[in-house]
Amino acid sequence: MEFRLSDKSLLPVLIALLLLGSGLSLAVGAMHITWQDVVAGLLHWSWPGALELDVPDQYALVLGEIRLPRLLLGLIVGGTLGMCGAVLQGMFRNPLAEPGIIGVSSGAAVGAGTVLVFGSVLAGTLGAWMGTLFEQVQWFLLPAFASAGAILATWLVYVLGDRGRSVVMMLLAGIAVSALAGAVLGMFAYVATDTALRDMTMWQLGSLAGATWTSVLVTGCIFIASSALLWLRAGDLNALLLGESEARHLGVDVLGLKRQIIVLNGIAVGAVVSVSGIIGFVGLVVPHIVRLLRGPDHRFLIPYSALLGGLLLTVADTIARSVFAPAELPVGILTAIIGAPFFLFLLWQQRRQIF
Amino acid sequence: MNFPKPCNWRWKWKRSLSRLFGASALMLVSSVALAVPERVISAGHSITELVLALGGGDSLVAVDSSTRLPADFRVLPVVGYYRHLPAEGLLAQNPQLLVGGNHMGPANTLTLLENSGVGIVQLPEAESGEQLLENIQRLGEVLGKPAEAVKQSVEEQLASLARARAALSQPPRILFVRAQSGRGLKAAGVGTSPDSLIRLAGGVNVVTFDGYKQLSDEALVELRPDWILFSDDQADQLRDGAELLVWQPLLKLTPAGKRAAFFAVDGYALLGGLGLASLREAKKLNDKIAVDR
Amino acid sequence: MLLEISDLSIRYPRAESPLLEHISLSFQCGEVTALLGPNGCGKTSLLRAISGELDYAGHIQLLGRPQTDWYRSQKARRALARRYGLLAQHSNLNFAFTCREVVQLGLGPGSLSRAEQETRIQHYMQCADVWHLRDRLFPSLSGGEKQRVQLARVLSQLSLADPNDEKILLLDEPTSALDLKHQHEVLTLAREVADEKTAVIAVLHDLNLAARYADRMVMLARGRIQADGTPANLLQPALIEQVYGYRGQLVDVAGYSALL
Repeated sequence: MEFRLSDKSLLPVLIALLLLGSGLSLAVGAMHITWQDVVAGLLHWSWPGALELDVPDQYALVLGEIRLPRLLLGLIVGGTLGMCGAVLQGMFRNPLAEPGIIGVSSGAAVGAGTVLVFGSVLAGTLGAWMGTLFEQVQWFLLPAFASAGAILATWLVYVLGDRGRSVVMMLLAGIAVSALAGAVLGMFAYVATDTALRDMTMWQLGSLAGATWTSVLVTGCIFIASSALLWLRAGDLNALLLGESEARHLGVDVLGLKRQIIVLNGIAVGAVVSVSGIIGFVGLVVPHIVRLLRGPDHRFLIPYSALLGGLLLTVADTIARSVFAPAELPVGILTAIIGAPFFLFLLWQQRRQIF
Repeated sequence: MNFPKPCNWRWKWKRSLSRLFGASALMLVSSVALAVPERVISAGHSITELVLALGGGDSLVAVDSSTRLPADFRVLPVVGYYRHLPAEGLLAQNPQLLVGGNHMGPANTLTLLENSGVGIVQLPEAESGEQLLENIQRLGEVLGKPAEAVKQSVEEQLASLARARAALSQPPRILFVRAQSGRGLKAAGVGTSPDSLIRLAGGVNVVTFDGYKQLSDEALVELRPDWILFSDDQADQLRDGAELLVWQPLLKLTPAGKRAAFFAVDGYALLGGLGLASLREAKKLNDKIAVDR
Repeated sequence: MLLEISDLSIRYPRAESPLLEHISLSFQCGEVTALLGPNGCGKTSLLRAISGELDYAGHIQLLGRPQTDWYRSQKARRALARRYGLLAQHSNLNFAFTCREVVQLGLGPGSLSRAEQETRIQHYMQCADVWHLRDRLFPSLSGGEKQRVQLARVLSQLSLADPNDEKILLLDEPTSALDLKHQHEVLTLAREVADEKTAVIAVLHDLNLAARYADRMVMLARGRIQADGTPANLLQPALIEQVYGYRGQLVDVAGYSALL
C-alpha cells in the first residue's frame, strides 16, 4: 500500500505554512520591527494617511519597498523553479533533471551575461533599428536574452542527452552544456568591465536582493502565464511518463508537447534567472518531496511544486538575510548546501529505479 | 457649472506607479546640502580611512566588509560587501549618510536609501593625487569636518613622492602579480590600483593591458621586471616571494627573480583606488627602489 | 477493412538490405491474427510502422483513412487513440504511480464521471487479473505483472470508443513475460476483445499458443510474408522449417495439434 496524502489534508497545511512563512519573512529582517508595527507599517504603506497610524515612515518603506517585493519575488522564483523542475523531470522522465543541474540556468546566465557585457552595443544596434520604441522595451532585454539562453540549453541537453532515454547521457549532456556555458561566461569575463564582471559573479550565486516591484511584476506575469499553460498539459505529461510511444498511442502530440515544454520552461527559468541569478536545487528537491507526499501525477505535482517551491525559497531567503544581519548571505549558497547532499542521495537511490 | 475634479484618480495612479517602479521623486534630496551627519555608514576601505583621518570616526555606525578598522577602534556592525549592500541591513542602522566609492551598489539599494532620506555621497576612485585631494575636500564638506590638515599632509606626501621620483635616474620596471594556486599568475594592468601605486612610487608598470589578466609564461620573461610586487595577504603563502620562483621557474630569468627583488604591498592599499594607505605604501616602495639604484 | 497495408517496405538507415520488402496485408474486425517469425524478422518494426513511429515506403490505410491523416490534428489523434491501442513489449515507467493510476492513464482526463472511471478501472483490472495489485507501486512489480497492468490500461483506453466503432488492438509479445496460467488467460481475453468489434494483432513466439487462440497466422521471414492462413493450414513441419530453420514434430494431443 502506497502512502499518499489527500488534497484535503495536504492543501490546507501547505497554504497555512505558506502564510506562516510569508508572515515570518515580513516580520524578520535586519531592522527590528514588532509584528504590530509590521501590520501597521504595511497598512500605512498601502494607504498613506488614510488611517491614523503612528508608524515611522522608515518602517513603511522597509516593509513596502524591501520586504514585500522580496517576499513576492521569493514566492515567484521558488514557485517557478519548483514547477520547472517538476515539468523538466516529467519530460526527461527522470527525477534528476533540474534547471541548475542540466545546465538550463547556466544557459540563461549566458543570455543574461550577453546583455550585461555587450549591453551598450546591443542597445545601440536595437535602438537604431527600433527607434524610440526601444526605450520602452529596454528592461525586457535581460529576461528575453536569458530565456533564449535557457531554451537553447534545454534543447541541446535534450537532443544530446538521447531524448531522456538515458540518465547517464542526460547528466553528461548537462555537464557538457554547463561547461560550454562556463567557457562562454569566462570569455565574457575576459572582455567585461570590472562592474559587469562583478554582476556576473553575483549571477552564479543567486540572491533575491535585487527585488523591486518591476522585477516582481515581470516575473510574476511570466510565472502565472507559463504555469497555467504547463498545467494544461499535465495529463499529457502523465502519459509521457509511460513512454514516448505509449503517450503517442494515447493521442498525445509528443513532439509538440516537448517543444512547448522546452519553450515555456526556458522563458520561465530565463525570466527568473535574469532577476535572481542561479538558485540551484529548489527544482530538484521540491518535486521529489511532492511526489513522496502526493504521488507523481502532474495535475497535482505542478501546482504543489509551485507552492512548496515558493515556501521553501521564502524560508531559505529569510534565513539567508537574517543569520549574518545586517550583512546578507546569497540564498543560492544556502539552497546548494541543502540541495547538493540531497542530489547525492537521489543519485544513490536511482539504483532502486522507482521515483 | 460644477466639474468633477479629473485629476484625483490620476494622481493616485501616478503615485502608485512611481512606487512600483522604485520611486525617484525623492532623488533630489541627496544633492541638497546636509547638516553635520551624526550617523554615517562608510563603504570601502580607502573611504573609511579618509573618514577616520578627517575625525569623523565618532559618527560612524557601520562599515562594509572590505574595511579594516584600526585595532583599537570600537566594534561596528559590518553591512556586507560594498558592491552588494543590502538595503534593509543599511536602513536598520538608521543612517543619515552613506559614503562610498562610485562602485558602491547595487543601484536599487541606493535608490531605496535615497527614498528613505539617507544622503548618499559617491566619490570617484582616485587614480591620481589630485583626485584624492578632491575626495578629501568633498568628504570634509559632507561630514562637516575641516579638511585642511589632512589635505596638507597628503600634499606634503605627494610632494615628497614627486621629489623621490625625480631623484630616480631611471624608473625601474615593476610587475604586480596575484598568484593563483596552480593556475599561474594574474598581472595588474592599466586602470588598477597597483598601477596607480607603481606610478606614484616612480616605477613603470611592465604590463600595458587593461585590468587584471592572466599572464602567459613566456611574456613574463619578455617583460623583464626589475621588481615584483604582490599583496601582503599572499605573503605567507608565497614565503615573501621565494615561493613564486618555485611556482614559476621562468621568473628566475628576470632581473627581479635573479635578485629576489620582491615587495609585499599592504592589501588594503590596493582596494578602491588611491588612499592614505596607498601613499604610505608608495613611499615604502619608493624607498626600496631608490636604495636599489 | 480496418487495417490495410499495401506494398510496405521498411529499411533502416545504413542497413544492407531492407527489413521488410513489399508487404501487403489486411486485417479485419473480429479476428485474432498471430504475427510469427524468427527474431529480427521485422514483427515489432511492422507494428511500429503501423503506429507511424517508423519511416516506411508504401501505404497504410488505418480505420478507413490514410494513416498519416490521423496525426494531422489533435482531434484526430484523440479520435485514433480511442480506437487504436498498442501494448508494448517492455514498459519503462519508473515514477511511483500505483497500478490503479496507471490504468487510469488509459482513460485520460476525459469526460467520464469519477464513478464510471472507477467501474471501468476495476473491470479491466479484473479482466487482466491485476485487481489485487491496484494499490501497489507499478515500478515494484515483476515483468509479467507490469505487462498485465499495461494490458488493463490499453483495454480501458479502447473502452472510450463509441460502441459502434471498430477498433484495433496491437499486442507486442503479450505473453513473453507471463506464467503459463496467465498466457492462456491473456490470449483468451484477446479472443473476447476481438469479438467486440476489434481486430487483434499479436506478435507471438509460441506456435502452439498461436495455433490455439488465433484465427489466422502470418509468418514473416527474410523480409517477406512466408505464409498467411488458418492455423490448421500453417502448422506444418515443412513450412515451419522454411520459416524458422528448425524441423519440429507434429503430434495430436486431445484434439489439438501441437508442435514439439
